[in-house]
Amino acid sequence: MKRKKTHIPGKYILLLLTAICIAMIIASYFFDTTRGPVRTIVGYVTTPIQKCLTIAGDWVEDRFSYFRDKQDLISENERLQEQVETLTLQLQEQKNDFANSERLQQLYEFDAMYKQYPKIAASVIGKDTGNWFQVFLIDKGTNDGVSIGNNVLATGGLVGRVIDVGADWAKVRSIIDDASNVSAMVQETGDYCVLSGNLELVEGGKAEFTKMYDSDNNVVTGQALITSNISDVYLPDLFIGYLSDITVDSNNMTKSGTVNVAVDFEHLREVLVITQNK
Amino acid sequence: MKRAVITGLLALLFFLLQSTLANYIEIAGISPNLLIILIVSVAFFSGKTAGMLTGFFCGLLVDLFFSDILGFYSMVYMLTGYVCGIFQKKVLEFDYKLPLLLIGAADLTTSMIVYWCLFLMRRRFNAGYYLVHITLPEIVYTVFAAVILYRILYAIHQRLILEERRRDGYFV
Repeated sequence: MKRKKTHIPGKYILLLLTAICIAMIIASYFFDTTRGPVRTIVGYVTTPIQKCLTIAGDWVEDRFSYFRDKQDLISENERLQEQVETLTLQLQEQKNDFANSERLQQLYEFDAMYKQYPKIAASVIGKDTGNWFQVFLIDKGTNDGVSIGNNVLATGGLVGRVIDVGADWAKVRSIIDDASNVSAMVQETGDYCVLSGNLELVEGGKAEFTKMYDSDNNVVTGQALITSNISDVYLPDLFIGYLSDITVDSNNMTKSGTVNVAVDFEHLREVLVITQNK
Repeated sequence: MKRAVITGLLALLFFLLQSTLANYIEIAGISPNLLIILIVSVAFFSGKTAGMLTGFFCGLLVDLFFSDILGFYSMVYMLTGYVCGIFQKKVLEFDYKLPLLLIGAADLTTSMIVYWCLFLMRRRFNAGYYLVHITLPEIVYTVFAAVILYRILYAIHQRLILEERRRDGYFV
């Protein structure tokens, strides 16, 4: 075999790349990589790929709705052959439409609940790779006024906050993500606590809360949890969910437990972004 | 050169598939790790250096878009590619046993590293839960996905080999 290039042994490249990786890891501990010059440089590389991601995400969504349309045509064809079958299918279809419009109606009504904030609607177009974190992408970015730190809502309540943004995309860390912490409080009693995501609870649609001082023992299960007024990243009074169980910590001073999160994170398709930071 | 470009494009494609299709292909909240399939396959076909570079590239993509620590996935995937490259075979016949085993093992190892570095360090001690509910389903699903994808990657590899041999004057 002809060799045109000089051959560098793999282990040297490995060493070099490992050094680069370690340097990057150290750098990302010391510098905030979501802002500043690092972000600008990274942006040059990622923007075109992110564009592909947005286009691919939209394409996939289109495709899936296209298949739904195709299904309609097939069902119409069947109607010519079997009247009964179509009627059933049509009924099914109408139920679908109804469910769709109901979903959007719910979102609209929910939108009206928080009308003091400017909001824009966005579709979920992608999800992080891997199964360890709950981070997803939406199809609105700086062009639509989205910026880092914006709170994100969906039918039901709080979804999370924008942690990274580009021209026509934004990355949202959901409140059930294992690395997410939200300053929250119980609506009825005003007791503060910290709401953290926990991967062990994600499947059941729950998150955990800790550090609740409730010295008067007023907090009971079933009470509503909202974002607190002392949080510096979340707007106050956004609904999170209901307390599902409460235990007293071993220090006998604070309480912790789990919360049933109001948003259905498994079927998240449309979200509302509040384009105003606290 | 052509092989490098194609591998790069494949990495991009797999990354796009992984992040945009995840919502549609996931079962019970778990999606397969397509990037691992690509990295292990490339390492298995073309050796340590190629596997390492593919791993680095895929990891860098994940880092740039989804990771909080830049360089973490780059390093994990790069080492995965390098180690899997040790199992490279010069004369390759189509066979599922070793590649699927490698893909499963690589997925297990990377999951373990992710758990150790990103979860255990934040006092998430319930290792058994993560193993049973996240890692094992992911491995099973990834290996099933690999049954299809490995065949496709193998076909691409065979075609590239034929071209390279023709270019190098094997069949003149």
